[in-house]
Amino acid sequence: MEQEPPRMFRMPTDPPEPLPPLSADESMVRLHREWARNHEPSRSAHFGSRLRGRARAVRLRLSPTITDRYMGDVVRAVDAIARRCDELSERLTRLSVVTDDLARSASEEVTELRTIIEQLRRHNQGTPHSSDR
Amino acid sequence: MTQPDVTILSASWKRRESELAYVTRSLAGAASRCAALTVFIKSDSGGIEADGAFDVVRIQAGEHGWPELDSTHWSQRPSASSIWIIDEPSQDAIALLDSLGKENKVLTIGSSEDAPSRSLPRVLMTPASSENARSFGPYVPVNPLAGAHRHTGFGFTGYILVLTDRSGNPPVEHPTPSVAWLTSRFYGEYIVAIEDGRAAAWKGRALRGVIDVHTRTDLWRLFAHARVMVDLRPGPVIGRECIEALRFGTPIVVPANSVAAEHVGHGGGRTYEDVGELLEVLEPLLHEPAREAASRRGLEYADFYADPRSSVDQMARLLQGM
Repeated sequence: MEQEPPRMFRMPTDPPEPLPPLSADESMVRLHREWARNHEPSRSAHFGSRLRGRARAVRLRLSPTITDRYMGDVVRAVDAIARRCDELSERLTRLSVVTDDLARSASEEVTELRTIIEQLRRHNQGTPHSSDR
Repeated sequence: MTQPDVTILSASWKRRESELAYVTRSLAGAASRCAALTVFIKSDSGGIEADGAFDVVRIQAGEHGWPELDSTHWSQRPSASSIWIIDEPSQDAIALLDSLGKENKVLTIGSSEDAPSRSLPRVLMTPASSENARSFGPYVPVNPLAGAHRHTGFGFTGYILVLTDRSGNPPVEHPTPSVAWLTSRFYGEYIVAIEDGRAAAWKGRALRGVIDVHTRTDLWRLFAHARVMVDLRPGPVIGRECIEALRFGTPIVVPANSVAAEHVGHGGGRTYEDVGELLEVLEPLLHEPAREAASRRGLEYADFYADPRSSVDQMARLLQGM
């Protein structure tokens, strides 16, 4: 074939494995667990412990310290960022699949078209392709 | 019955990497079992040398090739009455024949490219098409165990194997044009391109990895686990690698003007004239049942090269017929 051969890609276009959701990450789970432990009534079987936990939760709700409020905001912000990261990673995965499909079909179809053009060119020059004979 | 007297004049004997040397040695091996054989080889010095199963007679060649027969370089004279088998029918080899007035009982192995005016009969190395025709199938061994385990360097099988057409030591990381066309056309397929002892895996127009092919067994493993083997420049005498691939049941795709096209003629693959046609003929072979049918026919065909005893019998018949 007289045409230039196709160029190679510097990187594969295969879609990578989807990223695991950040909201299910162990660090996020631990953060929520610790937050809940400190701000919810204790589930301890002992009446004394339950009472102390409930009292602490009520106190925090009624007169939270600045640190408590700040920590609450941080946890909500981290939650929001994790949700957004998961949405973005899902979109990226979909985009990678679309890019791969596009690259695949474009590569195969353009290559076929170039082959057909070459055959036509030869045919017009009067040198039929052997498969035409 | 007396054994025929055979003289082999070999210019390629020491070029171990060449297919011509492989075929010449294979032919000499078969002839040694059914004829009185003398092997003369072109060399830098004279003398007799033990080389494997043979005592070869080294003939010091000058700048014009084989010396004249009255030269002192011939420590032994080749018999004019014997059957001569010449691996490279070059001008100097033909001059030697002419000086003896030898017209009969001559066979050649390679083609007469540098002496096209004088066409000497060649040993037919594909199955004879008629009962009367005599041919010789050099024994082409493969290790069937190569089919049991894939090459450990790649974690996949069912690829399109390509033996490339570049000379020298090209960086395999830059594909030969045919490989670029193949990976573009068959985007989802692994294309494994072998050149200069290295195999590069391409998929989706991107390089996926390079491994070394250290041994013939490595090469056989790659043949055995390929879906199709494309040989862009088959060996000039028999297309040895094509036969090896067929022996593993891997269909081949080869240039129409190559020696290996003869192998394809019996149904073990397809031929092509240019890259466009290569892409066209390869496509059906990637799918069943076309691949399976080509594989089966190729296996049956390659039996011709699979038995050393049959090779000796063929040589005996060939020599008796001269």
